[in-house]
Amino acid sequence: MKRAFSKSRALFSGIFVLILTLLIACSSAPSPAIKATEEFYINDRPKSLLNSTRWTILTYSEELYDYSRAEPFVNDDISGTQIVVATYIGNVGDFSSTDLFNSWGIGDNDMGILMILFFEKGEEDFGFKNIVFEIGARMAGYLSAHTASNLVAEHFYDPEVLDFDYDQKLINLYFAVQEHIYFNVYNDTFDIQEYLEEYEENKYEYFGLLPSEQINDLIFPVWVWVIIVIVSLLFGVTPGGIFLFGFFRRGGRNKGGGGRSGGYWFHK
Amino acid sequence: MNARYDKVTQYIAAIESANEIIIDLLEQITDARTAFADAVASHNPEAADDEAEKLDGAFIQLVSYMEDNPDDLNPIDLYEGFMGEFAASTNVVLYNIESFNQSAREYNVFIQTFPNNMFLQGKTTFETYSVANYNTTLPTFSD
Repeated sequence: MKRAFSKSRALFSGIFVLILTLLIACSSAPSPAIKATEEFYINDRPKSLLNSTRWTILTYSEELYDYSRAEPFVNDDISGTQIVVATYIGNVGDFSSTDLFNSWGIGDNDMGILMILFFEKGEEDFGFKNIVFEIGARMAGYLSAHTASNLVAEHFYDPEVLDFDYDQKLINLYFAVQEHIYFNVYNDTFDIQEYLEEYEENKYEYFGLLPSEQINDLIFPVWVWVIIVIVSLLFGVTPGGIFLFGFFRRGGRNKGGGGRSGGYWFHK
Repeated sequence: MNARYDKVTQYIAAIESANEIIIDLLEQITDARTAFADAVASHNPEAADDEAEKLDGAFIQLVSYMEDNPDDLNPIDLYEGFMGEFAASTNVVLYNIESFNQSAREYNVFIQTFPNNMFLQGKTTFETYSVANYNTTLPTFSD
């Protein structure tokens, strides 16, 4: 009788430990407030920015990242600068921009910059509210909040630009930040005037969908989606899933370099 | 576009001729911020506390100086820059305090939860950290 009780207690303990282990194994890191896009450098889920603005940021951020990964910069631990721009409908305190920065891992060697534009959604258009500017831990040695704050005041809140034209304000600031980085981090020049003129010429042009928008715009009949779901269930967790993954993954996917911010941000 | 470039030129010229007091204070702020980050990285709360205090002291002096000399600073948005630096440096301190407190809370819950408490008896809980001045408004010179 005593032995049977001992056995059942051992069994119960074993099941308990197993359940506990499974529960612990199932827990995962909290997901960020905004999911990173395939482009990584531009995250405009509310579609508040012009198509040309999105492509401009994507193009020049990719270019800066590639440029900054040259060997001399790698040796000096200043390689992999990433400038990311995101938009969000809501208020500055709705989520931690630092958690978002660290979750996305912006920049190699902590050489990242994150700008978030906060909007409110009107009936027909968006109303700009605030901009958050966050600077990565190592980048803070090259771009202080003092300087960044002045760049925002000078270029984003330029009284010569109309209030509703936040695309122009953003691009003015974005190129000013690029210029600062090229000059102060990499000792190189950046012709801000030339790039601004190029943007202004093409501001209202349409350059096509961004890669992540192309995926969102894939419209299949219902029966195709049913087949995709069935195939996903059958092969999603097997090596066959790689084919599905490859099907959806089109174009070059950008990602963060694991950079961190220690909470060095301000908003205006 | 030319006006924008003129403004930048004025700004650079103004920075170059900035008062020694401001430059000294900015250096103090930069040093304190770096020392604070190092202290946090090396898990030295006493040193972090000291540096946070220095950071506050330098900022209060700086704000006081700017309020005394608004004509030198406001036309070129230097005031905005200082406020940006103040906000960002404060956010660094707050973020690290919050990170520490979050870790302390998780640790406390972990060692007090069954069955962990059966094996971790004798482990003491961590006190969360608070800096009383960090959520209050800075004193101004006129007060």
